[in-house]
Amino acid sequence: MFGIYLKRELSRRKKAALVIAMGLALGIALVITVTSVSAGMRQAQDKVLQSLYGLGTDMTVTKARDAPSGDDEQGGGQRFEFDASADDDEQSSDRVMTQGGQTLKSSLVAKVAEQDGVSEAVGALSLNVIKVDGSFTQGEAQSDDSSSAQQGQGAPGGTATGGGGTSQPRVEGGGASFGVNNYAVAGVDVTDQDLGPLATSKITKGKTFTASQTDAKVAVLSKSYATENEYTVGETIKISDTKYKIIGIATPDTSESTTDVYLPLKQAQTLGDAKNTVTTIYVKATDSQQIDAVKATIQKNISGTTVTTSADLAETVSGSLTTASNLATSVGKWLSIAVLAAAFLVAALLTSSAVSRRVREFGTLKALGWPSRKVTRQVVGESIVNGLLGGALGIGLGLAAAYTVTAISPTLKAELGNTGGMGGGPGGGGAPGQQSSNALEIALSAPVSLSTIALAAGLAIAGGLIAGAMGGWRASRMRPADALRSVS
Amino acid sequence: MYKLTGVTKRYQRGKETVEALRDIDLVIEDGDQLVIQGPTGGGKSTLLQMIGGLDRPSEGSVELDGVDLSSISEAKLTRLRAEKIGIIFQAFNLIPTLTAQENVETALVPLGVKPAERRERAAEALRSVGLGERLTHAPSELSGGQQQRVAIARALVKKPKVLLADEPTGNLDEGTRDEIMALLEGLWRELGVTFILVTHDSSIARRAPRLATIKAGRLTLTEQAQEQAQEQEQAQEQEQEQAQYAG
Repeated sequence: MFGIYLKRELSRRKKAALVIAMGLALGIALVITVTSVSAGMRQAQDKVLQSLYGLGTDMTVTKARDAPSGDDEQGGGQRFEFDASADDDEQSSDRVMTQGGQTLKSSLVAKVAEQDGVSEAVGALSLNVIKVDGSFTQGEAQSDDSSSAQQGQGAPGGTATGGGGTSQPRVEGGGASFGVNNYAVAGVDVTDQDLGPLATSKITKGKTFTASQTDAKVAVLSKSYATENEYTVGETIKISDTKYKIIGIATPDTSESTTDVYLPLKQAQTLGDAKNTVTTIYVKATDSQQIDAVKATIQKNISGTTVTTSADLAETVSGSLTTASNLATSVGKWLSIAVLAAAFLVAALLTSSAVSRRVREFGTLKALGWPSRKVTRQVVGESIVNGLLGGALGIGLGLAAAYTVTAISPTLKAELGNTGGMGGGPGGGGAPGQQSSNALEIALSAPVSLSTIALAAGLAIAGGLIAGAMGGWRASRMRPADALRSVS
Repeated sequence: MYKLTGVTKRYQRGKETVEALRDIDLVIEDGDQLVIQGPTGGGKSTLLQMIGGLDRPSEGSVELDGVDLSSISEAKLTRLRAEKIGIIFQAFNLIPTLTAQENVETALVPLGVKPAERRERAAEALRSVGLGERLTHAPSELSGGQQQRVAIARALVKKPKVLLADEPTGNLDEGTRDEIMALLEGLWRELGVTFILVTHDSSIARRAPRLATIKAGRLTLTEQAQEQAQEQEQAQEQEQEQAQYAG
């Protein structure tokens, strides 16, 4: 009788059932959307951290760069040298410098690896190359007497006086045209590529370094850099007068790479004039739950270094990803709770109101000898079915919303501020002495997990129970005499 | 047997206390028929609720076979209603979403009768009131008289000791009224149940062997003369014979 009665009541009161179900559905759909978008945000943040750190990296060891001194500004850094005597000749100069912090001695890598709780440690050297190429055009010296024009030497683009007498020669024309190309180079420990800068990329063309290529003049290029500069496997790339054979193209797991060119560590050290040094030590802990303890051990035993965990790194991430993530976790969460609470309340009130309209019906059943619990069970049963219907609709709507977000894949930007002594991993475009930052664009997805679906189903049942409890409570309080009184 | 002693019922209407029943004493033997008559608001439905265990008196006691309905637990009272009391309402009070057969079955649900037996007994009860062909019809597909027959079948399907009817013909036209009254009186005689009927219809009241008139909460019991009742019966029989000849 329970099932038949339930089925008949719901089919007769389709509109009311649908209103209650739709209210719950909206709340549940919102919860699914917010939960899945939040999960997408977390995935995006993890991707950002992975791309900056390397898959499997639990922390990095770096050394803070000293504040630039006045002497440095006066000319302590490298300089571009160009010969201004030649006319219209193409000239090129590469400026290579380490970036991300002060260099650390390579021997520290082994020392870090020996620390308690450290499973693996790998050193890497981050370089920034600024390539300037172009040519000068000399100006022409001319006197007032146009018939006696003569060549004069002058600074390009400027004016100079020459000759004597009354004629006043001047230099006209001339100038310089130079292009600047800035790219990031990472020196990789070819004997252990599972940890470090290359760990977040897949070799999609050619091959990666072999363990024997510790000092070979070979390079792996990131896909974006190779495409932009039209490099292919087998060609060579020239960096600061040294030619490297391109053996592979690496495609990063995230949408954008922070490193353009990967070289064997020794080659990078030679290129950056940083023999036996590294800028970052990538560390993998034996137990991911003990990261803070390992960090403390390293900081205690190796003074002067900065140990940055993924938690530290996450705090420095800013940009639209962080804003969206904060929105999802704060506004989204509270909005979901508010809509869900409103949906529960509306469902409860509508169910209660439906019970009020069925006074005669429930009163009659009680007069016939139906115990209150049977009447309550009927009301709660109808309400739970409404809740489940709302849950099914809500899950459908939520999945559609999550699918739409994934299909649109809005791009979010994550910026990693390189503050203090944070190495930030290889890559990035900061000039030495400046606070550098890494920016990544991440496509947002909204993955819906089984636990989210289970949560939605649980909320649907909870909504039905809350509404049913209110309606059932009213029905249980109803007296059988009401069945007679309602018609007298 | 029913025994009502000093039954008083008061209602609170705002700040005012209304006495719907005042100090009523009444005995109804098993198998008796009692008609309760009176003006609207006089307290006849309230009295029926006390007798049916649908409400409890403010004072006094209502005993059915020695059990005081005013003092037993709600669960026991509910069980007693399910087992012993069949009720027929003025507005039929059928569940609109259920079929005629399912409506009759609702009276057997609290007794724990198994579904197959429930269906069989409900169908049999409907056949006994002439609705054997209407088992699967919804109330909205039945006439007023047919709906009241379903309600009668629902009241009698559990074979109650007492049959209470609250204005059972109040919503019916004259022809259907007589039909339903004839059916109820026939069933009362056939089944031997105690039949308590509330009505404001004088023609029905006149035919009753015992008439309880209730006005402003006070009850006056009239034992109508047995001869009068016999005369009425004879007159009815003659009318029926004439009708048969005419037919």
